[in-house]
Amino acid sequence: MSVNYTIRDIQAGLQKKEFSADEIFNRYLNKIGLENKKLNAYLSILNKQNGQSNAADFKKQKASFGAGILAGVPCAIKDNILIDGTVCTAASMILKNYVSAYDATVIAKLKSEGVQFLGKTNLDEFAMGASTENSAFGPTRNPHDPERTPGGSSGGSAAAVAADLCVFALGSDTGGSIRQPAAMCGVVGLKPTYGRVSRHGLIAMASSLDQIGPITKNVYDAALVLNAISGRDKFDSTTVDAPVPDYTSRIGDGIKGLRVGVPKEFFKDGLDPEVGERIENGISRLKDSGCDIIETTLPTFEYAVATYYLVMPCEVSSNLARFDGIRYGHSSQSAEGLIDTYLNSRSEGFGPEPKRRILLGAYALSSGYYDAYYLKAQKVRSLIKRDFDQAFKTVDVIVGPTTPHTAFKIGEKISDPLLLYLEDIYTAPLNLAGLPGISIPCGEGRASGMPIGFQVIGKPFDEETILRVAYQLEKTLNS
Amino acid sequence: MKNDLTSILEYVDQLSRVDTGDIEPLYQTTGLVNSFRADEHQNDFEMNENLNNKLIGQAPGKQARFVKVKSVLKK
Repeated sequence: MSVNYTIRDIQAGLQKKEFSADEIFNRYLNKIGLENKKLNAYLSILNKQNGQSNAADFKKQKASFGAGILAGVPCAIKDNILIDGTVCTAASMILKNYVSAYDATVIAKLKSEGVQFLGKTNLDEFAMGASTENSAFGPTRNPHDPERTPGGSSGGSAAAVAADLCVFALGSDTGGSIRQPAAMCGVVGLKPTYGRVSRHGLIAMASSLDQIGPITKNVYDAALVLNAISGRDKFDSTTVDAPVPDYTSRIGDGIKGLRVGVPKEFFKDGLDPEVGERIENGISRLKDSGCDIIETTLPTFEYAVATYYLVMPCEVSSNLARFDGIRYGHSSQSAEGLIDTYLNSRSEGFGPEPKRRILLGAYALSSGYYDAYYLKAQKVRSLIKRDFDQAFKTVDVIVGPTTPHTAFKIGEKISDPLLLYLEDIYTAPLNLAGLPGISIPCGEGRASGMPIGFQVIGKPFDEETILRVAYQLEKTLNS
Repeated sequence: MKNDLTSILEYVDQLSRVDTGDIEPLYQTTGLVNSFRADEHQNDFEMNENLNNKLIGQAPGKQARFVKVKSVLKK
């Protein structure tokens, strides 16, 4: 199978009877069987029984192809999203044998569309990392160069899409975990507005920042998947009851006259020249498409990573307190009393990065340090959001790089956590402010030859406009 | 681990340079307030043998339908 199928290719193939839903599912399973050893993109593979949607759902969708454009499409799911009756590890030893008791809302929605699930993809443990090296089950490799990381934490999902081991994938994004790996693997990654997509059934990392979103082969597919997973959910009270438009309906409308902001802070030291060059090229293409390019400013941008690495660990330390070694997950055999069960189960079950973040968060929340760390960070977060609000008074979208450089080598940064934290510089500000962002491929680095991601940032709940800009830019870059 | 944490704390200390005098903290971005549900019986999850097994069945220590917890006080 040498074709790199998009969602529309699958739909066309099913309609023309080039293959059946079963056949395409099995073809992908075979391909994964052959190629996954090399990449370690999937942690587990599903089968006909638990991977394929309910036959009735599929038949219902099949009767109305066109409406159910996702019917029969084989996809991959990051292994921190629950699929009823299947193992969900979050790439942690503490959940090594955990079996999901229900479907995440996004999974239920995809099932009702007739989507087929190929398997669960690798990630940094509990989605904590920027390289997928923090997985308890070994790193994922970048399909463009197996010596390099795919980025992270949704590295397995991005690698699976890039290597055509699925048609599309779901990831989760707390500080850049969809967009950064998408950029490094040369695919499209979309983080929706906070409140757009339900996180019910997503293993929580930092609840004021987490969002689920699609990783796809093109911008149009990202719009199709967003259509399917968006909307208010009574199981996630942070979802907003705002209308969900058809994100494909205006995607090709063009971007003439659109005001595109370019923050000067994005192009300071730390941005690799080979990345800067491709981003400048993307911006000039937008100009050619009729956009007004406007220099703008985000004065507190430089503090976003420090803010993120306080807010996020604080929420991590609360969220991961649920792993008690009593109700589910790893339980220490050596523990004698209750307190030892807590302490030993966590010491044995969590890897180094979750431990680091739990300690950091518990420290920053402790009496005496709360004001200086947690409260201070939440105040700076206000300023970061205010900067974006201010900028969006004069521009419709903001653009820039997704990552400061292309994919790095496996092992290159893993010994210095702070160095890896700086990977989030262009992505984390959006999570802090709750904004939507999409990363699309914009060429390869002159020196590294590796893919580079172009990020388009939008106003809250204005995914339509960032998709329209990304769609136009994709078209221009490919022509 | 100690060195890692020290260097991370040194890094985040740069926030002390930011003037946040009368700025309110931002805990969430949607602006939703009091997102309550109706106080009535929800039947989305009906307990049955299968679901019971999926939930209780995963407890490392259990007896019949109960989760077993180690002694709270040391012997």
